[in-house]
Order: sequence, then C-alpha cells, then structure tokens
Amino acid sequence: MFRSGQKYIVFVVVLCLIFNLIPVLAQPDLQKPISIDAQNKTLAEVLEQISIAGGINFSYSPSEIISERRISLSVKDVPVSEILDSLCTELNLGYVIVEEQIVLKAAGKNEQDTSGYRKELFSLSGYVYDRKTGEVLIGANILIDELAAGVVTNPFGFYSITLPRGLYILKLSYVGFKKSIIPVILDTNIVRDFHLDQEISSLQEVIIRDDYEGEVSGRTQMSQLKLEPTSVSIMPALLGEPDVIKSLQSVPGINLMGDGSTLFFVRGGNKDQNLILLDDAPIYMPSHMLGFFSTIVPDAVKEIKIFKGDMPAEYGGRLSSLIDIRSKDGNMNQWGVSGSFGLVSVKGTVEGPVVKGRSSLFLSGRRSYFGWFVDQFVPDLNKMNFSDLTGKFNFRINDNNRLYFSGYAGRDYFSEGPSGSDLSGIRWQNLTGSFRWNHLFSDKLFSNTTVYASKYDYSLVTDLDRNDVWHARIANISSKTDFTWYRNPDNTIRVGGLFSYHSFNPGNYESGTDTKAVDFPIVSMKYATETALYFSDSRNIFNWLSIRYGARVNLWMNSGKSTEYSFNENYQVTDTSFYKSAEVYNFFVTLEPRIGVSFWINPATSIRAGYSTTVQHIHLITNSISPFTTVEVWLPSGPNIKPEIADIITAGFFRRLHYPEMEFSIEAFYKHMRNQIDYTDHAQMLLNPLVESELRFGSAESAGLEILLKKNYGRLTGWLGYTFSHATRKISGINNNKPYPASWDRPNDLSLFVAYDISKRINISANWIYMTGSAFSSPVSFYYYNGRSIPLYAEKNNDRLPDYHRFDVSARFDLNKNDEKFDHNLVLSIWNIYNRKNPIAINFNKIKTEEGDIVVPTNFIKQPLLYSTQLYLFGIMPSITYNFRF
Amino acid sequence: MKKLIIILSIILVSVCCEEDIKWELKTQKSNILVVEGMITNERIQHQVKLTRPVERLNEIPEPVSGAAVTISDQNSTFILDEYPEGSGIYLTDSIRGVFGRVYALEIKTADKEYSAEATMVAVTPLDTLEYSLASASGDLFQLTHRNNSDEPSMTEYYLDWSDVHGFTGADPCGAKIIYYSLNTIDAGEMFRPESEQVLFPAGTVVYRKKYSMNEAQAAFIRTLLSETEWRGGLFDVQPGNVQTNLSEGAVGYFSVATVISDSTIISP
Repeated sequence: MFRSGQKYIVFVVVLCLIFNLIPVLAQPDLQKPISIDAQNKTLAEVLEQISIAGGINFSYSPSEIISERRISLSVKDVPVSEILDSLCTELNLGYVIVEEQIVLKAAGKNEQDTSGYRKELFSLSGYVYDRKTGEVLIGANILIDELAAGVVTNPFGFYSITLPRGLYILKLSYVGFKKSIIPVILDTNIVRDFHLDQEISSLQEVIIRDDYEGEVSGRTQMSQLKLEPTSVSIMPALLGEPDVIKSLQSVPGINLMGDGSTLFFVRGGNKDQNLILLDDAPIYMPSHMLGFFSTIVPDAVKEIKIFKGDMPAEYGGRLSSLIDIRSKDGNMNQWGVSGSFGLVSVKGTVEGPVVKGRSSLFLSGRRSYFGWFVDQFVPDLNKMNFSDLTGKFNFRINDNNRLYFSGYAGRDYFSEGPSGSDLSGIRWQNLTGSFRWNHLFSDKLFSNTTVYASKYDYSLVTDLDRNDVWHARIANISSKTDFTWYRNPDNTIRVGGLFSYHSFNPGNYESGTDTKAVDFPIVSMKYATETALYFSDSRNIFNWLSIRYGARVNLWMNSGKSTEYSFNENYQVTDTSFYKSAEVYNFFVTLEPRIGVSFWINPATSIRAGYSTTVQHIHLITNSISPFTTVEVWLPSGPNIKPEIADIITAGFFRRLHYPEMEFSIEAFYKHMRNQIDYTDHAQMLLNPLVESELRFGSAESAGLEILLKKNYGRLTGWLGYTFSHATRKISGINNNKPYPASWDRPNDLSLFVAYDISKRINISANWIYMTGSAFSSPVSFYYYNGRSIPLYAEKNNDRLPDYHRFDVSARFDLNKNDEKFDHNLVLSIWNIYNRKNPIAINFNKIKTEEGDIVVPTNFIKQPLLYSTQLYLFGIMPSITYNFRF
Repeated sequence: MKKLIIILSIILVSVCCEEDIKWELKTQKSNILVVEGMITNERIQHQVKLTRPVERLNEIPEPVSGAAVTISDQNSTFILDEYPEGSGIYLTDSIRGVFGRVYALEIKTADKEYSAEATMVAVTPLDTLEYSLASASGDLFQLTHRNNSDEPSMTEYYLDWSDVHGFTGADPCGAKIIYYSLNTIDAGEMFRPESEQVLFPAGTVVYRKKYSMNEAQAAFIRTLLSETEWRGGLFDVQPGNVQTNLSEGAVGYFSVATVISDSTIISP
C-alpha cells in the first residue's frame, strides 16, 4: 500500500503512558473513510493530504518523525484509523489523539535518550492562566509522564522546564479546573502560555493538598500544604464568616488557642512563631473583634500555602510556620462583581480589566454591621466595627516584565462618647503594601523583586477626660529580590536577598492635649535592620532520589535612637546606655541550613526527611493566656533578648492510594528551640521600661506524629487527620527550673472534615474536631488575706482543661442553574451543633449572686462562698449567608 | 473606660458563659505559714494572724498557735501575745506606728523563724465620696469609686445600713468593700471580670479608711489582685504565686501604713 524510506527503532513505552490520558479527551472521527493518492511525496505532504481529507489535525516534530522522508500512499475509502495504523507500523511511528489532534511520535525515543539525542536541550516556559478570568494560576501542575518530570507554576504563575528536543504531551492540572493535555513540539526554546478552563460545576471540591511531587523542589518538600480559598469558603464557619486562619484548625499539627481566637500554635511552637504573609508583607496580628474573626477574607485570596516547618531557604523570620497568602490579581477579561451578606458583615468585590488582557484591578472590602445591633442597647456607643480593604493592580509591561501593586488595610474600632468623638475606645489596624516586579532574564531565569511595608497599630484610649492613649506599634519597610533558575527538569536553583528596616514601639502613653498631663514611664523605641541572603538547590539525583539543600544567612543589627538597660543576675539595672539615631550597637549573625531528601519507592510512594534551622528576631511579649488578642507588644532581639533558634527534624512516608483521589501521609517531627521566652509570675508588661527584666529564657522541645488521609477529588472529599505530640519547656527561673508542659500542649488532636455534593446545586459539609484540653496551672491550696482567698500554685501547667471537641455542619444551596450570568447561593451553617461547652478557663474566685450570676465578690463583711467555675465561649451558633456573583 | 468595658462585656457576654463546675484540684497538704499582719499609725492593738493554707475552697484555715511573734522598729521591740489562746491571732499592746520608720516582724514557730520588713509611708487625703443611683434598682445607690491618686493606697469602705428601716441587702448590717489604687497598668485590671454589685439605701453610713502603701506593698497587692479581683476575665494573664515580703517560704504580707478616715451619711 505504501513504501517507507527509512526505518526507526520500535518503541511502545511512551504511548502506554500517553494512552492513560485519552478518556478525558474529545476525539476526531477516525472511522471516516477517505481516499489518498500520493506518490513519492514527503511524509509531511502526505499527512497534509490526510488532514484535509479526514478533517483532522496532526502534530509532530518534523525532525523527530523525519517528515521529509518520501513515501507513497494510495488508498480509496479507507477509514483514517486504518491508514494511520498502517502508516505508523510501516514507519515505526506511534500516534495518539490529544485534544482533537493526532500526535505523531518517533519510535524508540527512550532508547535514544542516552545516546546524545538528549543533549540538545530546549526550554519551554510561560505562564498558566485561568481562561475565564485571565488570572495566573499559582501551583498549576505541568506533567510530562513519559519523562516522569514536571514543573509547578511559581507564585506568579510562571513555569519553565528544559527538555531534550522532541514532541511532548503536557498534562496540565489545577484544582477546580479541567485537566488539559497539550502537545508541544520542542525543537527550539519556546515561550508558551497555557489557559485552563474552570470546572463547569459551581460547587467546589474541598482540598488540602501537597504540591505536586513531579516538580523537583516539590519532590523533597515536607510539612507543606495548600488550602484552597474555595475550600475555606464552604467549610462551616463561625457566624457564617469564612475564615482562613480558623480553617487551619483542621490541619494536623496546627491548633488554635481556643474558640474565638486567631492565635494558633504549630508543632509545639509559640503563638508568635508563625509568619503570615500577604503578598510577601507580614500581617502581624490577623484578628478582628479581638480574634473572633481573622483579617484574611477568602474572597480576596488566590492561594494559601502552609509550611508547618521545613521551610524553604527563601523564607525565614519565624521559628514554626509560614502561612503564605497570595491575593487575587483580578479578572483580566471582564468586569465582575461579587459579594455576600451574613450575620456579621457585608462583603463586596469588584474586579476587571483596566486594559483588557494586559492589566487588571481587584478590590475587595468587608464591613461589619453588628455594631448597629449593639447600638440599640448601648446608646453611648459611638462606633463599633471592623473593616477590611484589599486591593491589587497588575500590569503586564511585556512578556518579560510584570508589575503588581497590592495593599491591605484592616481596622477595628470600638469607641464610646459623643457622636463624632474618638476619645475613648480601642482601635487597631493592620496596613500592608507591596510593589512587585517580575522580570524574565531568560526562559530559565525568573526574578521577582518586592518592596513592601507593614504596620500594626494598637491604641487603647484609657481616659476620656484626659484623652490619654496607650499606643503600641510594630512596622517594617523591606525589599527583597528572588532569582529562580530552572536549570533543567532535574535541577532548580534559587538565590535571593532581603533587607528590612524594623521599628517597634513597645507601648507608650501619649496625650492628645497636654503631654505634661500624663506622667507615665517612657518605654524606649527600638529599631533594627535585617539583611538576609539565601541559596537553595533542588535536584533529582536519580529517579528514586531527590535532594534539596540550601542555607540562609541573616544579619540582624540593633540601632538607635534607643535606650538599653543592663541587668545583673538578680535582674536589677546595672547600667543604662543611650544610643543616638542610626547608631548600631548590637548585632547577630545566624546561619540557617535547610536540607531535604526524598526516596521514591515508586511514583506514588515516597519517604522523605528534612532538617532545617530557623531563626526569629521579632518577639511577641505577652503573658496573656487569653485566646483573645489584647494589648500585646513586640520587641526585637537585642542585648537582653537573644534570637530564638529552632532545629527541626522531620521524616515522613507519603503514599497516593488511588491517584489522584486519595493521599496518605505520616510525618514525624522533632523540634528543639533555644532562647525561648517566658515570664516571671505577674510580670508587668505594660509601660515598664524594664520589661526585659521580667523575661526568662530557656529551651523548648516538641515532638509528634501526624497522620493524614485525604480524598481530594470527587463528590465526596475531605480528610481525616490525627496528631500525637508533646510540647515542653524548660525556662530558667520558672517552675523551679524543671521542665513543664507548654500551655498549648495538646497530646491528641483529631480532625475530620467531609464535604459531599448531593447534587450539582447542593453541597453539605461537616467538621469534627477533638483535642486534648490545654495545660494550665491550677492551685494546690488556698490561703486567706484580708478576706480574699488566694490560690497557691506548685507546678506550672500541672492541670488540664477538659478535652475540646466540636461538630459543625453547613449546607450550600446554589439558587440558580449553572452558567447563568447571575450566580448566587445560600449557605446555612451550624457551628458547635451539639452545643459543647469547651472551657477556656477554670476559675476559683467567683461567687453566685441571688440572681444566679457568677461574679467576683466585692463585699467582704463576711467570708464569701466561692465556687469553681468554667468560662466558655460559643454554644450552638447557627448562621446564614447569602453570596452572589455577576 | 468603664463604659468601654461594659461594651466589650456585652459583646463577649453574648458569646460566652460561666457556670459553676465541680473541679477536682490536684491538692497538696501544705505546711506553709500564712501571715497577715499590719501596723498603722492608729493607737490600737495591732494584730498578726498566722494560719495554714486550706486544700479546698471555703475551708476554714487552721490557726498557727504557740508562735513567738515580735515587731520592732529602730527604737523598740513589741512582743505580741496570742489572743484568744489557740486562735492564731497575735496582738500588740496599744501602740501606734510612726511615719518613716522601718518595722521588722519576726515569727518563731516550732520549726522555723520567719521575718519581714516594711516602711511606713504617708497617706494622701481621701477623695470626695462618690456614689450614684443604681439605674436598675430604683432608689438604691452604688459606690462609684475613681482612682484619682497617683500614690498607691487601699481604701476600706464600711457601709452600715443597720439603722435604715426595712433594708437588709446582702447582709443585715452592712458591707465591707475594699478598693485599691495602683500606679501600674495591667490588661487584667482593664478587662477585669464582672464583680458583685453592692447596693445601699439613703441613710447608709459610709465609713472610709484609707491606708498608705509603699512600693513593695503595691507590688504585692498588684499580684494579689491578679489572682483575685482581676482573675477570671477574658484577658487573664498567666497565673502565679502572689508576692510576699516574708522569708523562708511564708506567704501573706506584713504591712505598715498611715491611715486617714472619714464617714458620710448617704443622702438622696
């Protein structure tokens, strides 16, 4: 029927892999009979004739299939499939149908891999976009099965992979998007952007997941999870307010401090050892309403990445965890509006293109309105609200340069007094701003430069008449540059640097009218600069062995204008030093090595281990045991506070049970932390210039085992997580120098989350959390003084609160059919459905009044009758939220 | 600020509850000496009370009897006698402390000797008595104590309504309320838990006695309040043992103070 000019080596391996992909694709009609009469034509010419006659498209690398070879073909009314079969057999080619294309490949390619064919390398790079909105997709997977290689888009949606010449079948995937299989002929360096389509179903899968292991740096990464913002928005939420921070409670190894708190602990670390970044800028205190709600609204978030330890070298600054949040860029293609109404707040988002396909704007705001209800009962209340505003503008200058401007402002305000007066109350605010410049030096070398600033302000107006304000602040202005060199599929190198200027106001009184009227101690301001350089190298040594190593070097310098005190062993002042502005008077140089290694038993199973050192120079100084955020202050490392240092060892077993539906992992960790801070009994934290004398230092240890079973896809999704851990501290001068359990030590932690799509328009989800009660100090006896019963304590944290558990459910009803322009839904949620009373404190100093109220006694005419009491928050809390989008 | 606390309380009370609970403490029998003693500039019999801690709430403490107790200043030593016998209450003769002097307490029990020192400082004048009609109770009043002094002090309020016909209140005779003024700021103080409200009728006689406090005693009182009046709110700090000026592991406090007093009849 035809004659071939040249033979090729037979191969089948690649096609076997590729055929796994076929079922998800639409196929051209290969049964269509066609007629071809080609004599001594090039293969390319023959294929073109087939293409025209059969109405099909071919993709191939001309050099790979030698399309210039001459063949003859003469058939009449023969189905296309038969022609292709014969052609491929004769020419030792293979074909596969990919997205309505016939992809032709040469046989025996794998065998040529070692013979120099691979030496000719080309890079494929570009961005991956959401086709509908034009937003870049962070963490989209691009997999080349036949090479068992892949790449994941970086936080700016960029990817780069270097491969031998050839035709490749790329498998693109991203949560909530249709998988896409795209053939790419790589015979030169190619810049190619990909666009993925959103899943038609409006209901979302609820997913926490690891990064794809195919990417070289992801292959060795441990203790990292991604939490999809869409998942957060359908998880049962307190008062119907989806909350990024509170949703972390379901992640093994992360414990919230309690109900109504945004403070959390990761793997035995303290609450200030977690770095929350929003577009690279730190959010120092992510709470609204003292912690009932967090500042991070899922509507404005594109990606949430959680590192529970084993942080890559490009990150630093905190000991225990990193919550890396990227805000949405905004729709590049069309303007849209979305929003919601709940019991607590109203939210609204506007996004759209400024220059279509080139730049976009995103604005999202939230404003509480429950203050109005309180105002009905407390007329003196002037203001009581919180608000958030997130904005972002991005602009593609050209293919090699992009700019991003983003900002966040969150504010809480409680005030009393005459309308228009701001004289008495509490207010705090978070402000962040980031300017980022992405630049491509080449197809393989990506850089990002960020200039960012953050500020957290806290003001407590304590006296209406004198207008005295206690004010604390922490702020930074920083610049960082990161370079990523995608050297080849088996090697990615990252280098970068950071410079930060930090300022701290540890809390001072200020008078709005007369500075002389306020006679309070002055707590010295603190200033410091931080310079960090890092390097990391991730590489696949063999198919079964990957390694990631790197280090971060940090230089921390304290500078004036400041006052520093020296203390003797009894914590009495021995010297006072005054430093002028910008005078450097103290510094620390620290090295943070990071290493990770993975052994791949098979493509679905790996054993990984890692070691990292992390350093922290910013310390939250508070002896509060309240789950609420109050009047905390920050202090930097300095002459009296050494940097906190943690050595973290992790090891784990990871297994995909039925790819990609279920994943199972066991991770063990051990963390040793030095220079940990605790406080003397009843330390005076506010307005104390000598507050450093109230601090005590020592070490802490934590160890644990985390087990996680996840089902990421399908109608039923969710996870089951269990953690067994211990966290202890040993601080000089505390608890008679003996080790004691940390108050956040919760040995058993179990979380179960399931979501189920009942239909295309109804989704239900449920959440059950169980934790051992936290440790606290209970009295061992009491004594009396001046009518008061005073507790005597023996050992620190000698007792435990009752175990914590809670069950929440929610249901989401889509009110419209799919694909309607106006999309709206209703979310009904019941938090703590069985009304569990989870105490946050046990008290031994209260009486019961005749009305049954539990209060502190004030009448000591005779000895009051005291009770043990438990204080708890939030019984059963139903809520309803209406969401819309158009 | 008080209103602010009310506002926050409304917010928080709407989502939090407190109820009594049976809690098994990990108690330890303690042989610690508890000392409660004070010398003032009043010419009276001053007392030092010695007891032991109790293991459970509301238990009656065991007195420490048979101790040798003395108080001395730079010029004299006063021997205290236990009266009544076995009560653990030790009394001086009728003496008065002198402003500026340092007083030393010494206690000898069967197994240990304890000591403490304190300096008497001057008391500042009493502020005007402030009270107001309690909004929810019709014609009853409540004290509206404000801390207008920069010096630390303790003020005892004795409310005597025994002569007011038909009013019994929480107690037939009256009430004793103690206010402390400190020159420190604590989150626990600002966000203290709700306290018992003592209401009284017109005609109540209010006796006030204000005690001076030196810095060490103010520090002791601050820690005492942290464990009592300020404990149990929503912004508690780490619990810890209350400070003392007694040696050898004893608890309590030996204080000296100058006092000033007045009395007022509450009028509508």
